[in-house]
Amino acid sequence: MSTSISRRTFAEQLALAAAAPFVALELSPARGPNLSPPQGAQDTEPSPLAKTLAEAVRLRYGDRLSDDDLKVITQAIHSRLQNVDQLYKVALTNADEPAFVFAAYRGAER
Amino acid sequence: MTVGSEDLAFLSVAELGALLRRRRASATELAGYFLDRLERLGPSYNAITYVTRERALAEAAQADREIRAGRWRGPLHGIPYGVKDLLATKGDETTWGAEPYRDQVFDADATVVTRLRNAGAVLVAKLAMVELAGGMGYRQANASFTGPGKTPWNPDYWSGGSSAGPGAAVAAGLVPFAIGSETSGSILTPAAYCGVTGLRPTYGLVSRHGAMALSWTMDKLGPMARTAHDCGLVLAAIAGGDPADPSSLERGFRYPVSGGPRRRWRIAVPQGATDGIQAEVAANFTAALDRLRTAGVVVTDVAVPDLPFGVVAGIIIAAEGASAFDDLLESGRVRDLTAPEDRIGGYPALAIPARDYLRAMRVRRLMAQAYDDFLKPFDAIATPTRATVASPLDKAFRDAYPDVKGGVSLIGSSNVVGVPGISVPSGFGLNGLPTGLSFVTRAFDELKLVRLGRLYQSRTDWHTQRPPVP
Repeated sequence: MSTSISRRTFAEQLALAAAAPFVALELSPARGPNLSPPQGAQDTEPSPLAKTLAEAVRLRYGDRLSDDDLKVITQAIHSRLQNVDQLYKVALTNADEPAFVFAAYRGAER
Repeated sequence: MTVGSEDLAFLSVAELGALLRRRRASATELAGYFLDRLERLGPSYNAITYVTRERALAEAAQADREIRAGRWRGPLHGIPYGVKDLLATKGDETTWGAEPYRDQVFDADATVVTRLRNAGAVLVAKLAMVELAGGMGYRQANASFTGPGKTPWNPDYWSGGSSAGPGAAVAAGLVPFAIGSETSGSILTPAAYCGVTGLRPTYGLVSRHGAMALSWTMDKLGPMARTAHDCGLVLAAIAGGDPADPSSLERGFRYPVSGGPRRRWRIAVPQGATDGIQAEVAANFTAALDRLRTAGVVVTDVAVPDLPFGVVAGIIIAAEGASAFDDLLESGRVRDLTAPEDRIGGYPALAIPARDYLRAMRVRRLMAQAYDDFLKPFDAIATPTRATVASPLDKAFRDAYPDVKGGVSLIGSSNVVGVPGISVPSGFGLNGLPTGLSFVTRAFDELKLVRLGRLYQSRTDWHTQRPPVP
């Protein structure tokens, strides 16, 4: 099969993927609750913040990324930013710690 | 039943074990038989990266010596198996399915491989996988240097990802069981698309030491086999704490082989589970529930907690994946990946603020509690594993079945909170492709999943159906 897809299709897919960029299979049907990106997220003009964050990527890796690549990356960042608001709608208190625990280390005694 | 019979290829682990115990086959004969099938048929499905013939014959010879001497290690003794090629095996290529790592060799076995060797199992193959377990956001089946995984039921269609090789190899009778990995769907999806049984354990139940990391807080390793019973046998051999993996837990998994006491099962179905999914998938799911109703109560239209599981999963996997593959992104060798979208799919994750990642991890803890409250009243939640059958190889996933936009999948949410799930074959749909039935339950209730799977498989014969393998 051909490995090439259109830039537009690719941009749309990657933008959609921003909801779960590495969980490709969750983009196919049978989504769970809240797995969908906002309606039309992939079609809207990237926000200034998205453009700024994408510019940081360009400054660091621009030598290996084409303009089209950067457009796709900007759109993906934009879509993620639109979804990330959902995280901040969940009420947390100061006591709500992240779901990982650091453990102090003490090696074997001599 | 003798070695050389095609039927041998589709026997379960338990059935092969009985042959070995009765001395009707030797471990060496079984290893040779499956090695030959792997070499002859594996390329047809793009299912293998490496056949471990020399190692397999040495392990099998040792198993035969021990069995002859009366030293029986247990139900996996002398049974051939394969591992997804993200598990390190000493001295062999461990490619992670990705061109940049094609020549990678480790000097030690992954803990899971060591445990299976200690159980007497015989490693016959490293099995193909989606490059980096899908870590760069692939959108179509051709995302591995080994080519797109093909389901043995119809090789024009995908075997699923990212454990594409384990799914296809078990389905085609190339190995009796395999070890896959799941970050978010990579065991259950290929199990459904290949018509086999896949068990994703609770996070931390199985050591990840020696496995490629995509997401340190979400990766799980688990068995894929013909039956739920076989998955129970394998999980019992690989579960348990490991000093080399700080996230692993000591509790392990005990599997009493008996079916357990008769009980009335309480199974829930989420609201909208079959709305807008492929008609055949919905029909098979409804038929499956009918089979289970005689064994208990099916409660319909339960509400899944309304929390942003997808957003949390996306940020965690993206941020951890970008860090795990820092070397690939920094060096630019990400450009050597097979899928065009994978070549730049990691860069957006480099712009995730630490604040967002930490917020996701804080919300995740609340999610785990809410999800446990959701699961607690029931023995399991049932859903169709996927809303469609496998997608065709020549189409992007989103273009495969554009009219299918509905259903409720617990794959994303249950992976975020780290609870176990199982997928069992539930029939066939479009183009003769298999469908799957999934159960999800509370953390560390794998025994319930295995028993429920056994119950379902005692009432159906979908798991005994064979694809048209030459």
